Amino acid sequence: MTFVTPNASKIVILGDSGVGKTSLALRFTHNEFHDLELSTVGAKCFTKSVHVADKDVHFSIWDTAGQERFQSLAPIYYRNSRAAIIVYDITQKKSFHEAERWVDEMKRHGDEDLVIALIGNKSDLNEYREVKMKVAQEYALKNNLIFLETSAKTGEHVEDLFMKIAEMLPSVHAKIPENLDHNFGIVSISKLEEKEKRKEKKNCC
Amino acid sequence: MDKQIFQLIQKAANLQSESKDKEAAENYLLGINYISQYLRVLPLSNKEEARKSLKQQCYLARLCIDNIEKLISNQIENFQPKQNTSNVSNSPNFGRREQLVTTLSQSVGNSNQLQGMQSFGFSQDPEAQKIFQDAQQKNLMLYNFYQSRINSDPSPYMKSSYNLDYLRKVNENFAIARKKFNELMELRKKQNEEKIEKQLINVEIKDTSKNPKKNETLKDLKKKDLLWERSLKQSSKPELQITEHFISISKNPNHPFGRVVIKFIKRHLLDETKISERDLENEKKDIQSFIARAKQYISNNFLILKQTQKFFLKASRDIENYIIEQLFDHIFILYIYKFKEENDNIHNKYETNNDCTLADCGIRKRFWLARNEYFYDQQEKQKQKEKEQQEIENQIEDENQNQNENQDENQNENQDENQNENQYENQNENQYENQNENQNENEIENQNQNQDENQDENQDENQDENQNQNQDENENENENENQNENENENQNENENENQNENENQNENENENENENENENENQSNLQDEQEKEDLIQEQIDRLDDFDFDESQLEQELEDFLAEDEVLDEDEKEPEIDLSLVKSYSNSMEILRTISQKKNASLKVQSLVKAYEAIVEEIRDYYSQFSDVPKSYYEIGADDIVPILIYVVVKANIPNLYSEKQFLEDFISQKDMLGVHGYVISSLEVVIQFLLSQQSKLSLSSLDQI
Repeated sequence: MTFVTPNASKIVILGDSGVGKTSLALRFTHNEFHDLELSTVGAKCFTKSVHVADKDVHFSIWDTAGQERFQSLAPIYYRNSRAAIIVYDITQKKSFHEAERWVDEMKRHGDEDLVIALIGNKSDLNEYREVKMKVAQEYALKNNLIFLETSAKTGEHVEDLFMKIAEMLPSVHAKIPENLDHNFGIVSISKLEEKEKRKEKKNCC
Repeated sequence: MDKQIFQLIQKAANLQSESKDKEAAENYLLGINYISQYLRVLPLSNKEEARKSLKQQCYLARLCIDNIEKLISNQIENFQPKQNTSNVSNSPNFGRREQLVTTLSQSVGNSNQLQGMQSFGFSQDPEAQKIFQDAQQKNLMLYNFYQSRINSDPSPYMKSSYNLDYLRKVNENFAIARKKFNELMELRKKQNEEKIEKQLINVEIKDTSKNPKKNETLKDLKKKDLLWERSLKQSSKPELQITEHFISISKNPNHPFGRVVIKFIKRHLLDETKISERDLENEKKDIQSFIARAKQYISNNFLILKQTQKFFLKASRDIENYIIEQLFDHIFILYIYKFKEENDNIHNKYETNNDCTLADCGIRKRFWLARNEYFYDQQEKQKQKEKEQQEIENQIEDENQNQNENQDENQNENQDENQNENQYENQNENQYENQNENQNENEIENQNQNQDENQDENQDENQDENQNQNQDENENENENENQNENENENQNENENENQNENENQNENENENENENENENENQSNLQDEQEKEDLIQEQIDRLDDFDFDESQLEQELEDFLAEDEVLDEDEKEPEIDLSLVKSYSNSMEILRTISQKKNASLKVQSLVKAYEAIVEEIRDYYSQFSDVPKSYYEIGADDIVPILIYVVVKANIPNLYSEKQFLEDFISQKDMLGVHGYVISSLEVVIQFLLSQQSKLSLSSLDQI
């Protein structure tokens, strides 16, 4: 029995408002744009599982509010997350500066294992581009970020993005949060299970 | 003398302030007052006696002070006479006065205690009042009796002795009353406990009356548990057994769990007044220890279950939920007290009587942006379509021209029909063949082939008929009639031809439609089917009209541009239609149900429902603008969070912060990664937002987010 699903990993999508955070998540989880039945979406955070390199990775993607008034409250969203997708709009320079700010914050306050991806969205509107691809690419190289330019509209590189993140995630096992004392028995059992598993593995070896 | 007494009183006052036992000190003060009054009242007949009495009084006063000091230093309550004082009182010189003072102070203490007892919680108890009244009546009787004796006896010595006797009697009287009082107190306590137990039995514990084993020890209970665990291994439905077991435990007062539960319930029944901080801490400790034990207990059972059954996860959830439900009121009281400041803070951040019903929260802005985006896309698509239409129409015009030429040819041929019937037939055949070839080039081959075959057969028949008719003509030699007949037949044939041509045209149109559809699909999937149909119909109408004006296109383009201009204006100064703005009352009602639920999972469920209701209401808001398809808007956190703030503020949930904290503490950590966690953390975002507000939040300012 498993109390914490082994490969569940939380991903936060950060970025300025109107950058296309929600549609990116929608595109990945439903592989459709605009035509999907919205009744199934909205309240639920988006979930999808991916099979990469002989392991199943189960994503739960958390959409966040990007308005300036809520920026100070972002830690509530991104705590315990394994990866952060920071989105900017390639047709808005302001959103790229905002993304840079997010990268700094995640580097400071995020976990050491945190996978950060910088995403330039709306690549289908190449005519109105304000942020050059080279600039963003160099910035991503400096800071060890995954970098891609995606289009939630056409679906370009959206799948690639999540596959890359799945590959980059450090361990298969989900991180067990520290403050589990509130739950009856669950901690002790899951820990006991881990111990048993380890024992079994040792025996096998 | 007066000075000395005054000093004495002052000293006693000082002692009172210094000593820790304030009640004792107060009693001493009262006693001293009595003493001073008593000393003054004593009648003085002679001057010598007066001098003597003054000296004695002075000495007595000193002794009094000494006694009082000793009593206070020993911290003895209730003015119990000390051995020292009795030794002093036994001495021949000062015996009576000394005894008098001690008994007096003693009786004062007793009376004070009685008065205190009367005022303390027993003022409404009739029996306690009876005791008090009896004591007072006895006192009155004694007073009257001794007063008459004192008045009748002239010697001061006897007077003082009578006084002493009187005081002794009074003291005894008070002592008896006190004893009665104590007995009554104990009786009342027992009665209270019995009452509580009865209430418990009536309300909660109906099973204990069936199994009244009061002498169950912990060992027995442990044995029981062990037996239960063994039976659990063998049973097929451990879920049920666990829940039943826990229900029985929680109702058994001898079981360590049950004791805690019953204690809480007792508290709940008794607790009409507020809980003091000490009790709170004790309760916290109890709950913690209870939860710790419950944890151990459940985890042990889990391990057993784990080996036998797979579905114990659900069972454990049920048990958790059950325990929390049982203890919810007591646990939640703690949460309310612990986070009182935060709760008050949140409530101070908004005005409950704010009548603002507008909840736009920036949705309008995003709506207009999305709308603009939609029309921009639509415009580009339309341009492409129009280009394609032009191309298609040019092609069609060419084809039509060819067809018209063919028709002209046919007409010319018809004119020559009467002259060369056979030739005409051959020509028709050729035409058909040509048409068939053209048709074969088309995508829909089979249908056309079938049609062609049918047509060919008809043609053959017609030919045969014509031949027969020609034979008849030769036989009857009625040329004119035959000519007319032939003409009619030829006309019919021509009609058939025209029909075929029309069919061809329709087929071409269908081809064009298919092409258009394919092109449209390549362009985007965004277009609705209705729009497609409309466009196709328009195309068909235009094709039917044949006459196409370029001016129409220009007009349409102008219209589109004009619409864009209008949109731009709207984006700058969007007008607010109050009728269109949603009240979100539905989601508020759902959110209010949180405080009624007694379980973390149920609370979260109602929170999720409220969240979904908000999403639906936002979607309804969008759907009022019918010109843009519903699906064009993505309803994400950007939209929902401001509305959620509005809904939370308007719902005005009591103890919101403790609700949130309770949820966070009691929801399982696995759920925190999923939907439940998402909803809870967005509620936390709302709460933190409210707390971060420096001044009161006016709801109209929310619309500017």
